[in-house]
Amino acid sequence: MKIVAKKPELCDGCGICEETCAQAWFKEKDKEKSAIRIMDNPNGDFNIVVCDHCGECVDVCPVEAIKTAKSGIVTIKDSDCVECYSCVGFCPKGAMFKHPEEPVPFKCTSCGKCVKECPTGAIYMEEV
Amino acid sequence: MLITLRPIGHLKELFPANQEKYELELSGTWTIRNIVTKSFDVDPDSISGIVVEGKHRKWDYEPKSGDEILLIPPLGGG
Amino acid sequence: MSEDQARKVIQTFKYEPKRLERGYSDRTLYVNLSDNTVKAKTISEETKDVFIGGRGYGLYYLWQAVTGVTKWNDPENEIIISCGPIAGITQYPGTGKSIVVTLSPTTGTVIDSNVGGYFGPFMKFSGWDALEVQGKAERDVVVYIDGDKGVVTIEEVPLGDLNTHVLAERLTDYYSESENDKKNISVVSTGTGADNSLMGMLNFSFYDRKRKAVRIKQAGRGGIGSVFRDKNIAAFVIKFSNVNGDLNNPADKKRINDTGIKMHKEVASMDPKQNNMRKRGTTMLTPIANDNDLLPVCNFKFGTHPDAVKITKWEDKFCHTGSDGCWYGCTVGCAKVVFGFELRTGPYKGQKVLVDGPEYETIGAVGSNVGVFDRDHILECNFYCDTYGIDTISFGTGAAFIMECYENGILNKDITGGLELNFGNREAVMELLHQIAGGEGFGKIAGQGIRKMKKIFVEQYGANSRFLEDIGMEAKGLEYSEYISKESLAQQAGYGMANKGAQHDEAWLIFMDTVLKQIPTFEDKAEALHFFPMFRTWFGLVGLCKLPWNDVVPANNADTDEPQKVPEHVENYLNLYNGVTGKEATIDDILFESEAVYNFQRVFNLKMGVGKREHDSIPYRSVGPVTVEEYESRQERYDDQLKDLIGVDPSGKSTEEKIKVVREYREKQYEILVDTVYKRRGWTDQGIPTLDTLKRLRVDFPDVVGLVKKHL
Repeated sequence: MKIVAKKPELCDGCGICEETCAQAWFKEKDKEKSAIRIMDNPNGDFNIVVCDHCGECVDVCPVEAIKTAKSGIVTIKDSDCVECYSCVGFCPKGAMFKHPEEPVPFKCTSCGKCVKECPTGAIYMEEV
Repeated sequence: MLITLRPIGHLKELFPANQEKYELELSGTWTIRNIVTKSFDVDPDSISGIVVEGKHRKWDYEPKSGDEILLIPPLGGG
Repeated sequence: MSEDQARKVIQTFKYEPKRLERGYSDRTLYVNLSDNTVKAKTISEETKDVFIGGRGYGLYYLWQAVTGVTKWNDPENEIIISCGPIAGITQYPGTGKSIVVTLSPTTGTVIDSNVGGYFGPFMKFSGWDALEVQGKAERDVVVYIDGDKGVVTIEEVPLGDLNTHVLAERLTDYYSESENDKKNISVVSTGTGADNSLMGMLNFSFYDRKRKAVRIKQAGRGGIGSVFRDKNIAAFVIKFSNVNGDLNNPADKKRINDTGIKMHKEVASMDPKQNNMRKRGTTMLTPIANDNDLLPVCNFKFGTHPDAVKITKWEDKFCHTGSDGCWYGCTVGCAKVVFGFELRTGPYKGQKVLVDGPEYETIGAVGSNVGVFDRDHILECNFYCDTYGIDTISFGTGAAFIMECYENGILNKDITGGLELNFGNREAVMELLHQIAGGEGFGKIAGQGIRKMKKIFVEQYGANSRFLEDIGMEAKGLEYSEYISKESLAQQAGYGMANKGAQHDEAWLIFMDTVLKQIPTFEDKAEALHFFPMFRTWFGLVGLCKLPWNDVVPANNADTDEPQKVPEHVENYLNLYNGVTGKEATIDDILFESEAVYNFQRVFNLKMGVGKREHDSIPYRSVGPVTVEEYESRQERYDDQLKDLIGVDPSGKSTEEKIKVVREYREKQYEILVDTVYKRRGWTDQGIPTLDTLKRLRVDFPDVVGLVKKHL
């Protein structure tokens, strides 16, 4: 499968990936609705948070709303979600997100749109 | 000074010798946090409460000679 | 539903499914099985204000239904299921609890028992804050609530085997339309043990999608299942589809979400470093109990046993999927399960079954307390108790009592029909269980519970009454749950003063008292015996499970002022309660709410003839050593106490003499503590709430005051 991989040392914190993601999935620019997040580190560089499809959320979901597809990509079926947010709490990467306006949590689906817009090559698609 | 450290319940398993209690001869000033993390390399997150001679004490408490320090896991019961 | 031709609908009641407002629908569903009445009742603001929900509602409706002379098997007795305002939120661990209330066949007074599973939340989402069932059906019936369509029916359906592992699965299939629909069904059922004994319990089901299996949790205590079967109820079934996180229509959803996510993070990071409940469930208590002389061994004679190590570890037996909650959002997930267990005895011998559990209490009750240290025996017994609808605690504690009587010659093989009921005889334990469930042989006596057995053994077999009072581990007619309380005076009172009888869920103070020595004075103990019962009662008013409160804690808990109360979690609960209801309650407010209901229950006991000081007495086995064997097993401890606490030199004294001195001292200590607690609770020295107390708590209703005045 292809997942979003990262080279944080190349990231300049421009946030274009976040805007692209929020726009792609929620049709707005609110970075809090992005499934990839750029975090400021105290030393001035950046941390990139994005799902690596480890499957921890699949185990913890009580209703099988989160599944690993044949491709290996982990996705959420919104209509099956009971909004317990166990997945948000248990994601070891902090890459499952919840926005106050959205009842269902969201995560990276490996669509690759953010990668195409990244001006520095800090994120890229990698076959794993 | 001589103090006794007594990990309760499964906290025992976190201490290297899995003993009921440890008697320690310490010199200088020690907090309970230092004893647990530096003398034993035990993760303080595992410990829910600290009781010394029947009283709750916090991590920065400096035990005095003769103290018995009980380290307790979450124990709700039923 | 392919078997409609066999389904006979006796009554149909249609209603408008009602959206909850801030956790409440403000109405209850009333069903009378004698005349097939089904109707909605409105809950007034005044009732809601005082009784809150859950156990409070159960007590309120039962109070209206029964008089002081009503017996458990009178038609007017009710079974009430209610869960309370917080129940059904999906964002926080342990938020799906129902409380079941009825008059108990073994205590004669109110029993309340809390239970997980999906029934309670589904009932709320279907528009009912409580289900109140009165009367008796002529033939076995199912009460079916279709919360999607707004239809309640009383029906006769083809049933066959009534034991839960068969019936709950069958009814789940029957009322669901597809595999995917099974998750929308919850069944309340019991088994033949409830028909034939007084220790029947109720199983509440939930469909486990990952294992494709019907799972169960138990409302175990006090014989509620026996009442259920006496009413000729085969099952309650509910259907509700489309669960989501907003169905309580809470006042402040974000507050609940934020609190829930914070807690899930805490469980994820802390539980593996702490109790590891996600992997071990409540079995994690077994080694701690054994190490600290608290694990009941051979009818509570001893608190530890060298063979106990064989029953302390369970993780390898459990089938792990990562989500074992008995309601959505429970990441603590203590509901463990053993898959493919092959039965060795009984009617299902040779079958491979799923066993829900075991929990700590079951390990103590059907394992160490009967002297059997074998995991497969515990699983076998756990499975059969569950499917027969028998409370593992009452069964195990009752069997342990029988075994001690057998070993003392009070019972023999002639009386037991050949059962050699020595401690450690696991075949005999299983045979006894099968006999209880079948209403056969000695099982007919054993299924009556300890209080009634004591009477039978004295009257029919010439047993020494005093000895049986000493070793029969029941209080108010309810068998003890599984902790040795001998060295914890506070725990003795926790058992003895509990409203429902000898259950630890009001106050579990053993550790604070004996190991940590935090509550040395009578006043300290009385304060703990006020706070803990009140706070724990509150869980039962609002629909919460106790475990996520203090079986996992935040990283900084030891640095708080009162770590034993887990202040951050108390804050979480206030956020949930206020977030759902829109109140701005403080900790003092919720303790006040609990205290009101708690005192009302105490008066309810008085109404049923058991609410006085004499009823708070406890068997001496729970206080100190009854026998020479017991004393000598802990001789050093007791001799030291003679010297240090009592001021009596033990040297030169016989064990019998020493037992007598220890007993006088310990019994006196208990009475002093009872006095101190009564005072703290605002009760008279006879244990009756004063009129001032009732007024302060706003439960001074005319009938309550009238009743209490007669006893002052």
